[in-house]
Amino acid sequence: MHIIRTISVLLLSVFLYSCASKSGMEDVSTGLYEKGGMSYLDKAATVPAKIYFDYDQYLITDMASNTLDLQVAWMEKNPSRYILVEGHCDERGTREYNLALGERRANAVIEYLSSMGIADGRLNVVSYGKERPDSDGSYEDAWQKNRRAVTTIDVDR
Amino acid sequence: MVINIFFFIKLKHTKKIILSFLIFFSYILNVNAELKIDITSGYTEPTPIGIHDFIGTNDEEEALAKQITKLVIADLNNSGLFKIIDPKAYIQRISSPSIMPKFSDWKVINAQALIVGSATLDANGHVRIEFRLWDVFAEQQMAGWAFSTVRSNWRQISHRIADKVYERLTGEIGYFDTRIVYIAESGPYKKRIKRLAIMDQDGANHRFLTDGSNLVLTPRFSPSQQEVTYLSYIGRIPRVYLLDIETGKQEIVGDFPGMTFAPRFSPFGDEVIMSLATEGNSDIYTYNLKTNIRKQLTTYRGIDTSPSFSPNAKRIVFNSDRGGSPQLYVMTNKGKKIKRISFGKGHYSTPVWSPRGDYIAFTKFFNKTFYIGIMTPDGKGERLIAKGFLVEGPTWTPNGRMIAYTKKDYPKQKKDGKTRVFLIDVTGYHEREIITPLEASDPAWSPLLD
Repeated sequence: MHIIRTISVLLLSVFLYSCASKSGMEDVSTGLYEKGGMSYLDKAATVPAKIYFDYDQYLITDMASNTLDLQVAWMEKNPSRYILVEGHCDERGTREYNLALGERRANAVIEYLSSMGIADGRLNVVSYGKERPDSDGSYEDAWQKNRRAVTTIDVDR
Repeated sequence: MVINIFFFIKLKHTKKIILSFLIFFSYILNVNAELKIDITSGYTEPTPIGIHDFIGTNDEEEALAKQITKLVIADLNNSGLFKIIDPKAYIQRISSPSIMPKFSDWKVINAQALIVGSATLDANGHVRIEFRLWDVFAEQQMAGWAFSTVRSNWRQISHRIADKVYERLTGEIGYFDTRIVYIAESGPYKKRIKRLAIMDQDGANHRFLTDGSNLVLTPRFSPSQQEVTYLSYIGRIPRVYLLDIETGKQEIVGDFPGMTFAPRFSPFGDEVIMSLATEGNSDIYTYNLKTNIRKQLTTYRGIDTSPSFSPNAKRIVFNSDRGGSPQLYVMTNKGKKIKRISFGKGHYSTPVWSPRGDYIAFTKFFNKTFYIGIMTPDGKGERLIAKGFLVEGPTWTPNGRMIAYTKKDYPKQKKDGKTRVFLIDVTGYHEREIITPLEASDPAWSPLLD
C-alpha cells in the first residue's frame, strides 16, 4: 500500500509540475500552491497561506490579519473547501509546551476566520509544535519563519 | 561454612531467575567499619576496586565468564563511581570464588573492594552464576549471590550483579538492569523522521518499535514497564497511545474531542495523566485504564501541560502559563491547592518528580540558554545541573540519582547541531552521552526490571 501511494504521489507531482506554467506547483498533502518560495491557497498565487507570530505569542498581528482577510475572501469564493489550520512554533521552547502553543496559534486563526463569517464546520486545527520547521537553521531568521500558522485544504474531508 | 538461602523469583516478562543469598556466617559478626561510597555530596573521586575474571571450569564456561566480567566492569565504570584496577596489576590468581581472598595482595594495589565470581553451565543450557563482593580493608564479605537462569539471559545477570555491587557499596538502589525508550531521529530537520526505539541502558538489544511513517513523540514507561505511552500523529491527528512492548500493539487512550498529548503513567500504572487541547486551551486530565473514566483536573483557560505524579500519587507537578509565563505548579491529585513553585528568572517547563520524591527536575530557558535543573517539591534549593544550546526533557533513573535528557548542539556555520541523549549525576557531575545508532531525543528511563 505504501509503495503504491508513494508512486501515485510521484506521478501526480510530475504531472502537476509539467502543467504548472505561470501559476504555482501544488502540494498534494496540503492543497497549497508553491511559488517563489511562498505558499498560496490559490493557483494564481494571490492568497498567502502563512501568517507569522511573535515569540511565545498567539495573537494575530495587523499584518497577519491582512493576510487572513485575503484568505476569508478566497474561502467565500470556494465554499466547498474544508480548511485545516496548522499551528507551529520555533525550537526555543520545550516540546510539550510548544504543542500547546501551536494549538493556540491555529485556534486563534480559525477564531478570526469564524468571526469573519466562515462556517465553524469547515474549520479544523492541528498543532505540530516545533516538529515541522519551515526553515532549518538555528538563528532568529529561521525561528521567525517557523512561528507560523499555515492555512491548508483539509485533504482528508 | 557456606549457607545457601534460595529465593525463587518469577519474572513476568523474562526468563525465570533463581536467586540465592550466600553467607559466610563467621564473617557476618565482624564489626569493622564498612566500605561505603557517598554519592550525594558533590564530586566523588572514583573508588578503586578489583574485579577478578569470573571463573569457569571449561572453555565454554570461561568464554561466558569473560563476557559477564566485561559487562560488570563496563557498568560499574560508566557509573563514574568506580575505577576498575587494571587486571595486569593483580597479584593473586583466584581459582575459586568460594575461598577467602588473600587480602594483603589486594590491599597492596589499593583495591577498596574485590569482586570474584564463577559461571557454571549444565547440560540443559542453564547457567549458575555466583559472585561475592569483598571489603578488602575490613577483610569481610559484603555480599554474595548466586543466579540460575537460561544462558541467553547472561546480560541481565551481569547488570544485576553490577546493581548488587552498586547498592551494597553506596546504600542506594542501582540502575543497571533497566531500559531506555526514546525517539530515534533522522533526516533533515524540516522533514524529520522519528521512530520509537528501546534498548538496554548500555545500548544493547536496541530495536525500533515504530517504523517512522507517523510522527511520534515523548514516550514514557509504565511502572510495570511492558507498556509505553506516547504521542502519535496516526491519521494526522495527534493523540495519546499505549504500545505493548512485546506485541507492538498500539491502542488509543480514551476518546477525547481534541489533541491529547504529554502523557505519563500514574505511579501504580492504573491511570494515564495527560493534556487535552481544544479551542486554544489545554487542561490536564487523568484517564483510568480499567474503568475508562476520565477526570479533568485543571480549568484555567490557557496552557496546562506536562503533568507528573509524585511517587505516592498524592500530588502532581505541572507546567502552566496562568501566571503570564511558563512556570511550575503543584496540586493535589484532585486538582486542588494549586501552588506555584518556580520563582527564578526565566521560563520553567517539563517538570518530572523524582522516584525518591525528594526533587523535581525541570527545563529552564533563560537568557537564550536552556538548562536542566532540580528543586525540592516546595520550590526551594533550585540548582541548575546541565546547560546547552538546547537541553530539555529530563528523565530520572530509578534510583533518583541521575538524569537523562535531550541535548542539541550549538549550530555550526548556520547548520543545525546534532540531537542526542545525555546522562548526568544529580550533583551536576559526570555528564556523558548515551550512544544510539541514530540521533536521539525524548529519553525515558524504565523502572528496575522486576
